[in-house]
Amino acid sequence: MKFPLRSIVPIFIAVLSFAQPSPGKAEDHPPAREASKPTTIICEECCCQTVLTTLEAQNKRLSEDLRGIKRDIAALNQSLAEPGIPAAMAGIGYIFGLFGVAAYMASRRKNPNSRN
Amino acid sequence: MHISDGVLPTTISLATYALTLAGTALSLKFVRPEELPKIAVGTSAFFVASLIHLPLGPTSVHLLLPGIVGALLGPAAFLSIFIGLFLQSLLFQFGGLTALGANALMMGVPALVCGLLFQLIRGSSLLSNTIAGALAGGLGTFLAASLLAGFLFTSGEDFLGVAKLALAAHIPVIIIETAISAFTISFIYRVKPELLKWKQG
Repeated sequence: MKFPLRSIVPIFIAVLSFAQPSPGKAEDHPPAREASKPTTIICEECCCQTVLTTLEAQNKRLSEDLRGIKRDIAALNQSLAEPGIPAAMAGIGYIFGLFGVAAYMASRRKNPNSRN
Repeated sequence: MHISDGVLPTTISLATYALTLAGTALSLKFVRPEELPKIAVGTSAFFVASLIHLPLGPTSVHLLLPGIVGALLGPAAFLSIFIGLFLQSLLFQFGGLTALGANALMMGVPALVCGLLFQLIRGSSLLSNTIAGALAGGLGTFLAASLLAGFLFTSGEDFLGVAKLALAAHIPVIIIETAISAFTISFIYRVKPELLKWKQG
């Protein structure tokens, strides 16, 4: 039986929202903490602030890292585009081969009757 | 220092191709069979020289060597440079095949001029040979940069600005090339002076 994925998503979100601790529900909290409700709210605001600053700091660091990585990729691309030792060796081989053939032809032309 | 594909107008490309082919054919006439190994070595040196990057501040420059090739190979330098540039454009993607004619002229003509100059002023002492080699090396790069500016002018660029830029970018190359040519020629003169003589058939 095929279970459609789209039907799972709302259920999943609903489950997640139930799982989150909601401050309005009294039965979730022990009665001893009921009295210190205002301080909790202030603390949560502080928490939000610190989380926000941490996130911003992380974001900044990540974007710096990403910039560095992008620079590295650009440098890598450039160095990949540059020809290396194999291409140089191939070229030297072509040149020597070409001139070798030319020398061979020239020697054949010089004494066409020699067969050795 | 290489002109890429699509920079030059078609007429200029075709004209430079025709001139280059004529020059190469003429150059072939001067090739003597016993000179072939020397030309092969000169060609491969020219071919590889553009891979030798010398770090210079934030950028790097590479050797061109038209002067030294001209001084060593004489009229056969044109053929040598044509082959070297052809393989460079195939294997290294330096310059384009359609601009090969212009590139070969840009390097070949300075090589011939420098070769003639070198033979005229080299004399028979180590000092005069070294000075002639240095002059050939420096002048070769200078002429090549000037020709580059001239070719770019035909593609509609502002001639003076580009010429200045090309020359300014090549001042360090000219200096390095002068030093390398002087060293190479003086070394060859001390070790195997007959390499510096042109044998024409």
